[in-house]
Amino acid sequence: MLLAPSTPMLWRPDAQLSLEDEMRSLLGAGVLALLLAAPAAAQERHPNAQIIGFTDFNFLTTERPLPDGFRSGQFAGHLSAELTPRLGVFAEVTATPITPVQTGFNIEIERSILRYDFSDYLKLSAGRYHTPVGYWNTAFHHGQWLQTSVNRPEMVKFGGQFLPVHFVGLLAEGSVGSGGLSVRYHAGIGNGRGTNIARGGDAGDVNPQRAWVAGLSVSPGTPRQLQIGASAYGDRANLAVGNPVDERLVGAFFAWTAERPEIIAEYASVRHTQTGGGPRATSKAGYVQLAYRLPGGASAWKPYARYEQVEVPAADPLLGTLGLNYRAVLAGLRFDFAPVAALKAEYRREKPGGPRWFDTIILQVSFTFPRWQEEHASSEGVTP
Amino acid sequence: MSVRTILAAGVVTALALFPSAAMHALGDLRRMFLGDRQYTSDRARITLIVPSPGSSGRSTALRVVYRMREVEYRQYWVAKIFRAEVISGPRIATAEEAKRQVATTRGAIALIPVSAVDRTVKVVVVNGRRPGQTGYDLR
Repeated sequence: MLLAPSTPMLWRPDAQLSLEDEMRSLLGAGVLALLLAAPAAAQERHPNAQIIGFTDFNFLTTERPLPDGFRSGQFAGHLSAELTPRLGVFAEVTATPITPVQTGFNIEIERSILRYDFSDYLKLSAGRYHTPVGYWNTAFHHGQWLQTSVNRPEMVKFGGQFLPVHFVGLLAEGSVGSGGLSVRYHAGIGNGRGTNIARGGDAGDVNPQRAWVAGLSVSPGTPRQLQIGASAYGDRANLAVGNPVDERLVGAFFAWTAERPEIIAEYASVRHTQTGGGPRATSKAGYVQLAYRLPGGASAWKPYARYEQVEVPAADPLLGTLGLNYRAVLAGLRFDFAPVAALKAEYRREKPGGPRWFDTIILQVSFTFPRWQEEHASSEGVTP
Repeated sequence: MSVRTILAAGVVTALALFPSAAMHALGDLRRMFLGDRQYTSDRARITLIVPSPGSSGRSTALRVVYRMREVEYRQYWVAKIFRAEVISGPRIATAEEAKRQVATTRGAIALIPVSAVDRTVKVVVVNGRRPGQTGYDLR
């Protein structure tokens, strides 16, 4: 019997902590402590500040060669605050168990965004984002409770390498609509993958070629909570050895999250071309997740299933040697035993490269805190 | 106190305080109350005011405007805030408080019982109909 984290290989499995790492952890810990201490104070000082936290605990038994045992999940704290009627700040900080061998938590500033709203049509921001490609990466962030399943799909897992999960730079976004129809766009430029391609260029880009991202999505209004979108991403990634690799990603998604049913499907194709006449290859990944909130007295229960696949040819100059090929079928049952907490039981059959399939069973309890409630309109002045 | 626009329906009313917009399609109202539209046409920030949990208007607001159960509604706003799409969610108020807020706050929009409508506010026309007319949506 083996036990593993909710997201295998979360942050830096390589990890001997350097002085820089420790400094960053200390800084992150400070920010996290501030977030956790902030709710009452922030809401007393300024009415338009919201603090939301998420965390989870897991038990996993698996045939995969992963650590065994109960495991603390990830702790995520999110702050949003209105600095002026049009200027807002958003921050997300996480604490993640490092590895069973190296105890302790890795503190990370996941998102840190300052945004100015000109109107619904144009909002400009700067900071560190979850790269807005596809759906899952920006729909659930680190809120395990928000997502139906225990973990993210493999193609967008945190610490993964198939998609650039983080993006540091500038983003323009907005929406137009009529009746129930909404059309949203975003476009951004910034630092792409760092030397460690699983991470963004937090302290600068590793080459002069900036990454760019653009996307468009449509919500028709009826049926409710249906969203269809497409996105593209481009960057130049540096290799430890050899010429840099140009990366061009296109993806599309379909997300209908009205609970009865919930259907989320996402597909991405990424072409990598080594500069200087090197090899070129296209890798592909996608998933389809189906769920259904049961009716009537059983509405706390939500069965779900997902199929997912990642295909990376060996000739891919950026990803080909990383062993990212993956296939999985999973089925689970989510039980919302409280308005802010869920218990999930999930069975997975996975083939992480190689010919062998592995079986895994995971139990997870996830929750959000504090319980979100609307502020009272008369408790403070509504900003004109 | 200026007279603002109100949107009324059956037992519960949407009290929309848009000085320049006395008529809305229900889809437009839904986009506003869902936080997908956050600014008025004259760039005022929209402030959402909904009935308090347990009040008579709450269930109508959830059923007709949000088309969600209470638990879905809360999860929706947690996700919306967490995605950095909005800074905060709707506010709650009694009908009297909502009318005061709407009458004094540019861009405020509220849901109140139709019985609470008075001369301080005007009823917003929804899809061309007023409260009491056949086919009025907010019932």
